[in-house]
Amino acid sequence: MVAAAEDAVVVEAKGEWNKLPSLGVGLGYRSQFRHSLFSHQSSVDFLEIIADHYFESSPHRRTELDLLHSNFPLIPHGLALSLGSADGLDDQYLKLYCELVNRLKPAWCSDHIAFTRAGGIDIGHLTPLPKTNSSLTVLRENIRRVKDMTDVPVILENITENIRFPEDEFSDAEFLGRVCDQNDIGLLLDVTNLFINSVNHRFDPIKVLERLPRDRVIQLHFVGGYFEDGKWVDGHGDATQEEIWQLLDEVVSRFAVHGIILERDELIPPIEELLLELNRASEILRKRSDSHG
Amino acid sequence: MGDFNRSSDMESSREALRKRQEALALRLTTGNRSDVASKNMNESIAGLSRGELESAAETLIRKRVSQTSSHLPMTRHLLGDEFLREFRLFGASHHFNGYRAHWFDAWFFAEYLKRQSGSNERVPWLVDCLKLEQMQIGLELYQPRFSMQRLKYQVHLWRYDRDPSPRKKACLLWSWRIGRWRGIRMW
Ligand SMILES: [Fe+2]
Repeated sequence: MVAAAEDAVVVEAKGEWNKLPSLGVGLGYRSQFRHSLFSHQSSVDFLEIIADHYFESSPHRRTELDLLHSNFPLIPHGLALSLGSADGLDDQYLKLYCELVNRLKPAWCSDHIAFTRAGGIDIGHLTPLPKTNSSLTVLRENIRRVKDMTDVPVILENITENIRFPEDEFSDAEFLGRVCDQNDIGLLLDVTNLFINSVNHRFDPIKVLERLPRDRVIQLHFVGGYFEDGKWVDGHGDATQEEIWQLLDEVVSRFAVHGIILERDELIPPIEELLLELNRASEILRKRSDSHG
Repeated sequence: MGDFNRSSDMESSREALRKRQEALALRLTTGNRSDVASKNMNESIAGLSRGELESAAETLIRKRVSQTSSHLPMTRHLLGDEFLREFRLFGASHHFNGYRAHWFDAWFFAEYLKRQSGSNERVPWLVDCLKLEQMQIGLELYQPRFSMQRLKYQVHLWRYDRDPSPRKKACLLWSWRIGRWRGIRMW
């Protein structure tokens, strides 16, 4: 009954998602490969930067941001908007995030479908939400506040879910679809997270893809994970496994993806190794554009 | 009447979500410490898998270790496995708020190690290494009133040296304005 009432507030899509530029393939920027990045500039189409690293930053961080901005298209990726917080958003973080986004004027900006803050505590990690109508309501209110402060399109990322809630009212696919529909936002589909959740929680990732709005999967993340104690973990420190490449291929064949980011955070290898993975992602993207004319 | 019932239902389910999130945040950041857990917290996380909570708390501490290692690479190298052991002790009783929490973790962990290092004969140059890495973190934080936070931490340590027992009972919370709200929790 409640679910039907919630459907009544679904916001009509503006149909402008397919007008976003195609940025190609790029890297999640990490200062460890700062020097080698500039000598391989032509192999990296765009960069995703962690927005938090450039709030109220030191002079050398500001110089770094200016350099990156004048050499690459940048996408700011927030870590702690905490859009799923029932306490509401942190005003200061929201202001800093939107100031940065409005200053960079990127093609889109992103954060996560998660909460990182509750009861005055910053958890410091993306924590999953129960897939319920209350979570959808909280997300709707919080996302509206972000959209009131910036005109840049917002896309949100699916996280790995290490905690499942008995009160869940929706499947993963239904929940993601509803978040996109109700808020007119795009999806940053982390293919690795989708793969890990599907194995750890035993569901078919293709079923999720079938439910997602066709024009809303704007950007992808991918990176290798690792298997430990019977579960996959998103360690962000391994080369991408074949299963994840296959799922990436499947996603790209279904959606008009506008950008793919390799999100390597740990045990960062020489940039040549990262570029090999980027080349493969680029091939997958090219194969799709060939087949779709 | 129907509208009233629906909106009060939504209010109560939102309040339940708020409590669940608050309890989860406390559970994940303090581990399973019985001195911090309250009856309300335990009720609010009822129904969640104990194994999943433990592994989520472990993921969180590993993430903090990894971030701190990247800010203190030489110290990490010098201490080897001891770095992880010491950080677990430090992390169980210190938690920082804000988007710069990982920098505070590293800076205060260095401070914590300096205090321990008197007895660490094995790594005689550890203190100099910590000072050097703290200096680099200071450059990154670039916040004149960061010194206020350092001062408060020193006061806390001084009090703790005189009487460590209150820590077992109370959750000491500092929240103060340094241009912004920042918080530090020590249990
Ligand atoms: Fe991701």
